[in-house]
Amino acid sequence: MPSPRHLLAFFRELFAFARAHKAWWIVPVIAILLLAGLLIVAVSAISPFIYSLF
Amino acid sequence: MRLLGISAFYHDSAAVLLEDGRIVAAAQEERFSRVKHDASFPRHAAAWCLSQASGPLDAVVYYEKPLLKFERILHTIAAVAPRGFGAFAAAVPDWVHHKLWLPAAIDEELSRLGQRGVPVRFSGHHEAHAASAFFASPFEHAAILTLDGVGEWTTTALARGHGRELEFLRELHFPHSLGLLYSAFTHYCGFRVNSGEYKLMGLAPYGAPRFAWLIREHLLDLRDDGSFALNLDCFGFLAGQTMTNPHFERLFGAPARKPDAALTQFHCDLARSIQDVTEDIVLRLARTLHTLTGEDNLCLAGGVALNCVANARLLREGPFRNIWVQPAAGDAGGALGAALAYHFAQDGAVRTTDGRDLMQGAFLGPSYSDEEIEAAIRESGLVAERLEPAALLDRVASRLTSGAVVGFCQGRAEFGPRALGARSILADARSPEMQRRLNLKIKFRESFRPFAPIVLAERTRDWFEFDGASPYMLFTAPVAVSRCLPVKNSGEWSARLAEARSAIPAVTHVDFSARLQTVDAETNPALHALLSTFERRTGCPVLVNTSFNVRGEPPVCHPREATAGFLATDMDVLAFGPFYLEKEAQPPALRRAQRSREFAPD
Repeated sequence: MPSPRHLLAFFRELFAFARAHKAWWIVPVIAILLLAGLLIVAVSAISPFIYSLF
Repeated sequence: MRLLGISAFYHDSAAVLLEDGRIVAAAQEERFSRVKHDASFPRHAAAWCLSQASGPLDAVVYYEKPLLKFERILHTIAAVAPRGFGAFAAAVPDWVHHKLWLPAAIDEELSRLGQRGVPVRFSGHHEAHAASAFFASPFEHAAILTLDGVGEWTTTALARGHGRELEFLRELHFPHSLGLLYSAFTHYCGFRVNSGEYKLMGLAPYGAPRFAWLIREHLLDLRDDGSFALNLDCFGFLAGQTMTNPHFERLFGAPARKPDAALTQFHCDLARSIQDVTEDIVLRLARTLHTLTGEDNLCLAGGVALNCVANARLLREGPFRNIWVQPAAGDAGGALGAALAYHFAQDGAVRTTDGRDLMQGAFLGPSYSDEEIEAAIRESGLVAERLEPAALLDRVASRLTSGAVVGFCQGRAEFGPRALGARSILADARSPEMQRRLNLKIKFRESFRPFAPIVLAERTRDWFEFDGASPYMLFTAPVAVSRCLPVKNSGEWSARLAEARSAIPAVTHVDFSARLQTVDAETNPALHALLSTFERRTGCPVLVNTSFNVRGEPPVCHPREATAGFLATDMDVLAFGPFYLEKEAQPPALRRAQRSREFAPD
């Protein structure tokens, strides 16, 4: 997981890229992909504990 | 200003240290990790480069713009949806987890190497190629042509360089790519993409260009100015993870060759056809570039610039008087180009030219002290003699004359894909059996593949139809007519292999060409001295030079890898620094134990 400093730098760069290339569509696409990635990681992390309940 | 250039995460990752515009160190990761075409972050190469630095870094420059590349991938996926789901599923997780976080990853890697908080900068992929071609060249001003598979969007760039300025004039964009077209045929003929392209080039002279019209008619819309559009119905790289698709196979009437299937005349003809089309495109682009710039000098880079047959034709038939090709023309050279582009974009950077290039003969990699070499030999249990330089050269020349195959490792290792005499295998080019012996017993590779000659620079004209210098083995040239022999040139393509074609048959390809390296005393003194000694003994200033590696492995770098390679093959002699090793003098148990080794496919 990147540090908050790197996360901030990444989004700053992403917005600068979208503005320079007039490609604003890439911001929600990347945001959704990152959220999906986060969800997968989170589910993988908590699933052993869920299944241990049954 | 002290800069570290980095290329990584596609193929041939590398690191380069630049200090005030001077290349201090350059190395590919594969030479340390021993993984051929290693694409991982070049932590060993970077660590070695930093060990050569005289102070802390001012910046790290990466050779691509990751967001722009990711935009291209997303665009492509959207354009072919829903067909490209497989490609999407394969590519996106890697981007989400790793490649989008490149600045963080580089920052972390450099922190481990003791360089904290160094700013990370990015150059465009073709900007890096163009910078590696022009800023490293001996020219004050020149036209620049970069050609490869793809970087971010650009696949071909036509540019002009003047002093410390780069000006991009025209570009071709993905998916219309000469590199990808050539790679599609590499894949179709059963060779590995990004690795087997030079095999396809070597196969071409055995064939006839009978499919060239089919390629021009159905695969390409080629215009007079050299720009072109691929017929995307026939390629698989947009929607899938293969280069070609069933349409492509139907067009040529055969399925793609499996890697272990036999090569036939059909594959030779295909190789020759795509080679002809490639040369045609390169020539058209060069003429356009000449018209746009009016320059006499041309600089080349990008993976396609490693096609030495096309380079030679460009030199022979093209509009440019002088051509300089970046020896690390592929992605490894992108690390150098990225650092050079950043350096010369800074206020106050000064570029001067003195008629020599910046590459120092491409001897920019690691070297090892006599003590380190001796320790590696001792650890491997081998027996070596330590000789004075003149005695070593005399002994090696004597053994070459008697038909021995010699591993020759001297000084700093090469940067780029070619062995230029620092990590080389040398042999007598006059021997008719040498090509076959080297291919089957030393390199363990296909018997059709040709070997390259090295020649004393001052004696080039006596042996080859070539004016000028080719220090980086990036041009082919015909063997001088006076040295050629009459041949029958009939029968199966494989039967023509055995026929001696010149006084130096081991390096004469079936079309009487040779991939030439000219050796001068200033940049390559050890090899020049050896060739001179060999010429005094035999009257021939030519030897076979091939990279010191075995199949599936990168060229050796450290002495321990050289001793392992020496034992694993039928090599007769190893000369590493001042140490001389004879195979026959080694303990028999050691020789036998090492012979049963298996080799990875290349």
